[in-house]
Amino acid sequence: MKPIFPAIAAFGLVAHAIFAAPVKVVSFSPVLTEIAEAVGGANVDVVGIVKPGTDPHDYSPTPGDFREVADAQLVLVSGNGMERYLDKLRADTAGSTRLLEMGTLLPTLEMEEDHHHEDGHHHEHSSAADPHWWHSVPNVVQAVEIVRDALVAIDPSQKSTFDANAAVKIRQLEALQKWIKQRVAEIPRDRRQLVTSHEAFQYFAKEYGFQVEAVEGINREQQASAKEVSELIETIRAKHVKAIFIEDTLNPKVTSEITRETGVKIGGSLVADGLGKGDTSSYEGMMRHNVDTIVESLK
Amino acid sequence: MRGSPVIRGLAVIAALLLLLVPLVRMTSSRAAATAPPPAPQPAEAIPIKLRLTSSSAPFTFSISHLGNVIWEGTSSTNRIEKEVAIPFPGEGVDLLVSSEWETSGPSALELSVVRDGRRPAAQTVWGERSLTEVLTFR
Ligand SMILES: [Zn+2]
Repeated sequence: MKPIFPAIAAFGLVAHAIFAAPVKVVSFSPVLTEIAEAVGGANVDVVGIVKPGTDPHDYSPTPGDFREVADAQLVLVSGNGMERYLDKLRADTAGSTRLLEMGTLLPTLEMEEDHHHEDGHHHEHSSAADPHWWHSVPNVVQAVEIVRDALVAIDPSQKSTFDANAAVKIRQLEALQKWIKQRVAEIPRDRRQLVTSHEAFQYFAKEYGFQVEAVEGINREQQASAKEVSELIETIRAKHVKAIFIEDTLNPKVTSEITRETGVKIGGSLVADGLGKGDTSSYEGMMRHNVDTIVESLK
Repeated sequence: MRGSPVIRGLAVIAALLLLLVPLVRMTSSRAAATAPPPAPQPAEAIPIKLRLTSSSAPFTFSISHLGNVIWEGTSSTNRIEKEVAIPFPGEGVDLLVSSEWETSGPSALELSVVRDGRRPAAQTVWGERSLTEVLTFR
């Protein structure tokens, strides 16, 4: 009888070692990577596939990425049409891996039909739901809670750690939200018009009281039609828009025509998709950059 | 023509009224199509009354509009009010409200905005010893 007890004890130790192994999370969204790292802390291994500075619309996973997914317990994606490879991910994670499509779990806004390009331009989204949910801080707070709950479901033994880490992150986000509201309050509400070259700011607009006007079809890869440009000029005039926010890729000829015809300022570039580089490589840095750029141009 | 002058008069008025309907429609739709865009200048400042009601006194407060302080001070009573003039566009205004109390525990502060001919709009915020909030009034 006796020798069985050490055997059970040994099994217990081995089992404990297996279950205490860090939870592996693979993330296809730089914002969700940051959240998983913050909530998971030291005992969660987060592999961020789409890095800050990479356009998540453009990303195509490599065979190596799919190998990372194979042994992950949790896979995070933005969802709502951001990842065109989602069907493949769904198939790959059909077994024991939990695939979390964050956008579908948050309040979703619909995207205007003209966001879709007939020419197959890379900004085409596969569904009518707007995938840019992280431009509203309350959505990110909810995302932290969702990631926390998913991690607790995978490793309940670390519940108190995940809860505490999530609470810290949420407090930081609440402070950020407060800062944004105070900063945006410097712009008269009747001047809160956001003319951008990529329709990515609907969630931002709804949360912080802006009207959005997306100016697609005038970036460098495409020939802007005279009609599109004149419509835009008309909109800028009619709405007395003070500044427009465009990506560096905007056709310089078109830009100068717009500024000459309307007197509108170029308000600087905003980080529309995922996270940026340098100061904008963190979520808070990206939001602060966008808000500062918008407030300085419109106030 | 026969019939009483009253009936004839009424018939003429009715005919005129019928004519008026399409006329009004035509002119109003044309007016809408060629209506000038909204004024480029920010809305004109109008007088509004601000009223602060605090759950405890004394309290120190500050109210800012578009980054400028429009009212600040210390009140020894729970209620204090002041008339200010700010632009009030249809989109509404954001007021940044800060307050400090000497008492411990949560305190409530209500800000009401009273404009001529409109119902007062009031919002309440809570804070412990101090608070800073942006309140939107439409
Ligand atoms: Zn986008």
